[in-house]
Amino acid sequence: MISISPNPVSTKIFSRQYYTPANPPAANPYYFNCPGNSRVRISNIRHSMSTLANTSRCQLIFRIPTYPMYRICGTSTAPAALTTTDVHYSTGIREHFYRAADNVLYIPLQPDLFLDPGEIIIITTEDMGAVITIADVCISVDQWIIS
Amino acid sequence: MPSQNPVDISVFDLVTVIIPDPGAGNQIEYACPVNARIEILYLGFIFNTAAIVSSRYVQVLGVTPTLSQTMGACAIPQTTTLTWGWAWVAGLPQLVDLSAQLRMIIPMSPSLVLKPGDSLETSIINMQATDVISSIICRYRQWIIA
Repeated sequence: MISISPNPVSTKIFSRQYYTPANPPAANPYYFNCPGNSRVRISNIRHSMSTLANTSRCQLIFRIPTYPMYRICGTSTAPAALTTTDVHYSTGIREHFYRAADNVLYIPLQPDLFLDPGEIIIITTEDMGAVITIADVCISVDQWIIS
Repeated sequence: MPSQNPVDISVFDLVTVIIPDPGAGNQIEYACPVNARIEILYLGFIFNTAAIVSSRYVQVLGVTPTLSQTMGACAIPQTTTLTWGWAWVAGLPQLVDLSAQLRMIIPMSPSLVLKPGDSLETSIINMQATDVISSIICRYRQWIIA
């Protein structure tokens, strides 16, 4: 099985877009679907993560429908329980950084996280459950219109 | 012999391929398509270790007809009777040790470029005849050159 998405455009010319979707329901991941007419390269993802008694490790999952899902990014650091943490996945940063006192978590993101139409990034956690809430998602992308 | 690039590298296909399971005791070996240059963005697989005591160290190689180059390696061994999910991500700056959750996210060279005749391979040190790799998925940039 093979999936090929031809690119008729040069990656040298692109626009910068910001996606600020509605919050997913509590205890659910957020699914970012690549626009149907575009190729995008994700530059940064920011979201908040609220925990109750339990906590969990943030992760990004790449998915093409009918293909196996795979994890592309994550952290071994679980934010503290009973907190709301600002989580930032950013290209170009070198190290994980978590500061519980300020409720911030920075996670390195791969530099060439391209998505073509039909492809999905799932913003989730290792043990996404009723105790975890993801909100305030903001995604920055470089975008090429391909149709 | 160097291979020239007749194409614009800013124009490429994104390809995701499921690689057939190699069978017990065998490593991954994925040959570059005969008409393309590719650059590996991601390699993922499940690795199941048998009940033979040994520390398996996983490496990813770019192999040409004359040499092989290690493009990613993990110093944390997978030991006996474990099933881990391995994710090799080009350009990621740091290893994400999720071994307690039975998975690893590992940096890989962002310039693992292969041309026809080359292959993407694993080289797992201390791999046993009954160890099994499965569910292999690979994503890469592709330039058609013929």
